[in-house]
Amino acid sequence: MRTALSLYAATLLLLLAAAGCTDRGEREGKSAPARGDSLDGGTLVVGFDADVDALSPLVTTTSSGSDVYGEIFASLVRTNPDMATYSPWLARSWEFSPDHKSLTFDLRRDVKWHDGVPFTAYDVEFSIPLYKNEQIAFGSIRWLDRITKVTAVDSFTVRFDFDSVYPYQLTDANVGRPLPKHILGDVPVEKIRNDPFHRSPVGNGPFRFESWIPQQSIVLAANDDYFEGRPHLDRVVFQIVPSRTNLISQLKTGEIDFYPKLPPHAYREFEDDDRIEVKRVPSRVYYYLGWQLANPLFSDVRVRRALTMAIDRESLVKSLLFGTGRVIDGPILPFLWAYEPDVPHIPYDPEGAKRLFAEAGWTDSDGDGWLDKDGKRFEFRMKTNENNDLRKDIVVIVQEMLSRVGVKLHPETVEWTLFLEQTTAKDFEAMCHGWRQGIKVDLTSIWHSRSIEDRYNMVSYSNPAVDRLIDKAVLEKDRTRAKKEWSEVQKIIAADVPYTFLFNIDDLYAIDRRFRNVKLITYAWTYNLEKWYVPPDERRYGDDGS
Amino acid sequence: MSRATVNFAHSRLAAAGGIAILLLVLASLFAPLLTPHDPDRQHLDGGIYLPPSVDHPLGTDKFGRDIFSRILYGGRVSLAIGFFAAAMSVTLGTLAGATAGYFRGVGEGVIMRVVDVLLAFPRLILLLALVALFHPSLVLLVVVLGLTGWMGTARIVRGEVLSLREREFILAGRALGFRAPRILFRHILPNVLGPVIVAATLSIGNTILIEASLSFLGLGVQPPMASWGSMINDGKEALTHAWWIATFPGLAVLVTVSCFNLVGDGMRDAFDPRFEP
Amino acid sequence: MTTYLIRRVAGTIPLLLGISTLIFFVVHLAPGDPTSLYWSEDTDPEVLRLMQHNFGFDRPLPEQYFRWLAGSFRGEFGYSFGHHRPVKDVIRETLPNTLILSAAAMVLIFTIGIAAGIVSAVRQHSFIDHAVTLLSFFFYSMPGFWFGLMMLLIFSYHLHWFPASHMTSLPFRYDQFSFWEKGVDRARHLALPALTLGLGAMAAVSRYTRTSMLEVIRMDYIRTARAKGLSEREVIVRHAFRNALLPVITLFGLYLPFLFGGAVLVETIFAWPGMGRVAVNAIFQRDYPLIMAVTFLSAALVVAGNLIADVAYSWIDPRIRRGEGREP
Repeated sequence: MRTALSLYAATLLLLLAAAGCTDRGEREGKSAPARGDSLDGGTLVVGFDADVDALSPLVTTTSSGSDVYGEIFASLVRTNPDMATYSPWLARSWEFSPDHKSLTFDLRRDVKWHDGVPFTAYDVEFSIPLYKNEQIAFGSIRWLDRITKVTAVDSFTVRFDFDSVYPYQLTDANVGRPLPKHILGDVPVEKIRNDPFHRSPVGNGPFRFESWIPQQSIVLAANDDYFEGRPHLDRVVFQIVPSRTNLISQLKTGEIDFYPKLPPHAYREFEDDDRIEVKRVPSRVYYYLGWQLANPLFSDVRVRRALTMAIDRESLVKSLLFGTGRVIDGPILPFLWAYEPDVPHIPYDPEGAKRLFAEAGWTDSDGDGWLDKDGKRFEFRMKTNENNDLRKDIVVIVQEMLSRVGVKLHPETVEWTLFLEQTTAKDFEAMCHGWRQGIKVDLTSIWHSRSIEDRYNMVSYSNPAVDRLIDKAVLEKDRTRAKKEWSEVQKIIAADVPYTFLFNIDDLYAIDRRFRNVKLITYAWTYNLEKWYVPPDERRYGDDGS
Repeated sequence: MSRATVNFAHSRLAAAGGIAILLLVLASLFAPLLTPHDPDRQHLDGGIYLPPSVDHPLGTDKFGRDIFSRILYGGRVSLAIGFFAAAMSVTLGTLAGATAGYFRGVGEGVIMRVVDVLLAFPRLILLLALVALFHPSLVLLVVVLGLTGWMGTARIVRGEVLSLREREFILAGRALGFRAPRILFRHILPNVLGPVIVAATLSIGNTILIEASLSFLGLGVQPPMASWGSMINDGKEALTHAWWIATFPGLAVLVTVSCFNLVGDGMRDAFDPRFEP
Repeated sequence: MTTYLIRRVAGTIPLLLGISTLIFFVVHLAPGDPTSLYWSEDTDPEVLRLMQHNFGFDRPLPEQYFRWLAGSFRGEFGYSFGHHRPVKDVIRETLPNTLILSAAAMVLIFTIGIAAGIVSAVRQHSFIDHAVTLLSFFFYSMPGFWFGLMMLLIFSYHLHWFPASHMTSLPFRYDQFSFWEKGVDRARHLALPALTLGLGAMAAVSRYTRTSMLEVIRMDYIRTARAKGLSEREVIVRHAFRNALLPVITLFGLYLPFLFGGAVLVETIFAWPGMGRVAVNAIFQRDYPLIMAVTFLSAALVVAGNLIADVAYSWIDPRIRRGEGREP
């Protein structure tokens, strides 16, 4: 198993690297196709299962919303598929000052906002303070904490000053996509959050905003003046259909070309489809069971190991995900550079689990089928949130698996806001939850003992060795050395079993085969959307419609 | 009463409905005898999404659980919620209606305004808000369904009581100095029992329907407990490739609610000959 | 008549006030608040507290209530957190869609329902009467959302006869349709949702009409009309129908709340961009201002519907106007 996983990881990294290379090569090497190029034209209809909340980098919180605004707004640099390096985008180049405390970007001269106004360094200088403004409460506001000042040196040079030196300075400088100063500059800050701009944005990216009928559809059109060359597709339509059944049905009838969140059970349905292809891409999401370590029931590592041994994680992947995922053993996913494949793996072994439980004092002494110790039965409640079918399904299956080794689990489903409140307040015995891994390698907010108090170390995990390593690794600019420290952290955490790590899921993308040059990567499916095309004879909706 | 009995018997459909309900209740009570499968037993390896077959007459679901046995066991939950919530709402409604009708005055005004307010609400939206905002559980469901379903009964009972309180035997009772509770419970309530039973019967069917709707939106009983509504909800996702998961529990609801409505209608005809169609 | 109207309208004011108070406290007493919408791994709990303060969720409940009340008197329903827009914009976009759906359902309910009821009353005990009775029983007892799912599965997924969601085809295609094509397109999108929404009430109306017709047919004036030698058709249309319709009209007001409740489910199943779906999402997201507005509005519409039904009834039945009142 372990070798399989590491093999897989290696292949994945290779593939990603390869994808990155060819793509970058293509971006830089191939000149932009002129208008009228035979590749230009066609419409892509994307199916979304929920409406987005807004279309602006400043206030949008939904991930589908950021998929859409990511096509409208460009950022200073483009994240490469390896999620560790960057390519030029709005910025032609960038460089750090000798003390590494300031970062200067040299911007492209030929970028225009969709209303024709040129994009300049003053837009950047204007935008960053907005992202830092607590009244607006930008989702990733904490990323900007260490940026002290942003200055437009001249129209096309902008400098970011930092209060300290750390590995993710470029990532943090890139998190707030520039906004048009000539539109938002006159809006009082307290009104910015509610400004209509966020629903009819003017950006500078490959597509421009055309229309948004709430609860129905969002239409983007090709930006003819896009500085990297006009996108091939004329239009991208996001149809909002809040029912997976309907989306699958519409995929079949051809009403929708692309569905980025195909549920695993539907994977089989399209396996032999000659029109729809399903692409699997490892996602940034992993699921886990968290044990409240402050609870005496779970304070013994042998108990946590035994619980993990009693759960057939391969079977979960097979039955719930139809194989579209992989079992994981540690807190960093394979797509990140810091991933350590060689962490202790706990195999499925119900008999071994029983022995381990007995070692820890848990036996079925009264013969009622449930383990007990000092007259107390081994039972607990596992919390998960409403509105997440996969998590609820996991709990139902785990309940049955644990019952086979004599552990009684009571599922408890809580509404999302309540779930957050209670779990961050450590008000739970066990929980089923998932994390979406960010592109920054930083285990502080989940695993550092400092985060027990106020952040997302909900299971109260505390290991001084881990604390020390994390504190060191987050400041380590040298990747090879940082990698060593992160590897160590992953090994220790995996051995401590504060979580039963379950699996990393694949994103399943169903796409009509008419579309060519589609590259879907873990970072975002929109990665090269502007390069997708439809051969002219396969286009739909007639010449005027598309 | 004899005429009522005759009318009721005449309504063969109602009788059939009554028998069917009895069978349903028995089937869910004695579910273990009727099915070889444990409703919660999962068969993840090769047992999931099996279409109907001899071994699994109604197929299996995403965990490989037998749908037929789950419908029988789920019936316990659906029927229990129906019975208890209806009992609660009818009791509340009868008390409120009788109080309003008998004592009149300010109390009546207040009660009937509350009835108006609650009736003006789309019940499902009110229920959704209540259940979603608090934590969905069996008890909460019963209480909330009971609290939002009593207004119809209250109106009916109040109407009946209003006309009864002017009748001679009640006036006589009052003249004899009987206290109000005694008159209410001994003389008035027995006389409104007919309409109340009808309301209760119809209310059970209606409650089962509403519970199913709530479950359909994910706000009913929580897994692994299942009601028919939550089974339909489970099947909704898999509708296109495993139609049997949502279809059969829906049929179970349909048959059960039809039966309660048949019986309720039959009884109404029996108690109230004017309504005979 | 005017006095009656004024009295009825005035009576709705405390009613609406009561409704709004009820919703306010139900919504605000529940745990959680809309700021959790902004939650993510990177959000500092401090930021959430800051937002709660900015939005005023840390104020005492009565203060929040009076603020809301004052706002709604000015026609301000506040700002929706989930939609990032004023609540009234959200309502303005979705309410008409729900009204379209409800209106279509109403038309189905009253045309088909009344027609079926009359046919089965006039042909009492015939095969058709039994068939209608039996069918309406089933439809009345059917979980509407389940029926919708079955329709979706059969007519959309397998037969491709009707589209599975939305009100029209893709907007840029729809814009190119001719007038008639647009009509057909809309009707095709409307068919399944409206049928699903109206089914139960349709069955009830047919039962009700049948009973009412049968009662009227037995009345003396119908016998007189027959005795006068009027044709059966004239008797039914001119005399029986009009009088039998009276009680049916009151059902109109009765079914409004029913339709709004049903719209929640139907809009979810058929991805209809209406207020019901917005209501469900708002509830899940704890979007207080939107929940308040949507529930209040649907209650207000129901009250208005009842009022209209009452007025219509009193207009047809003069006894009411003389102040004898009607026991609902």
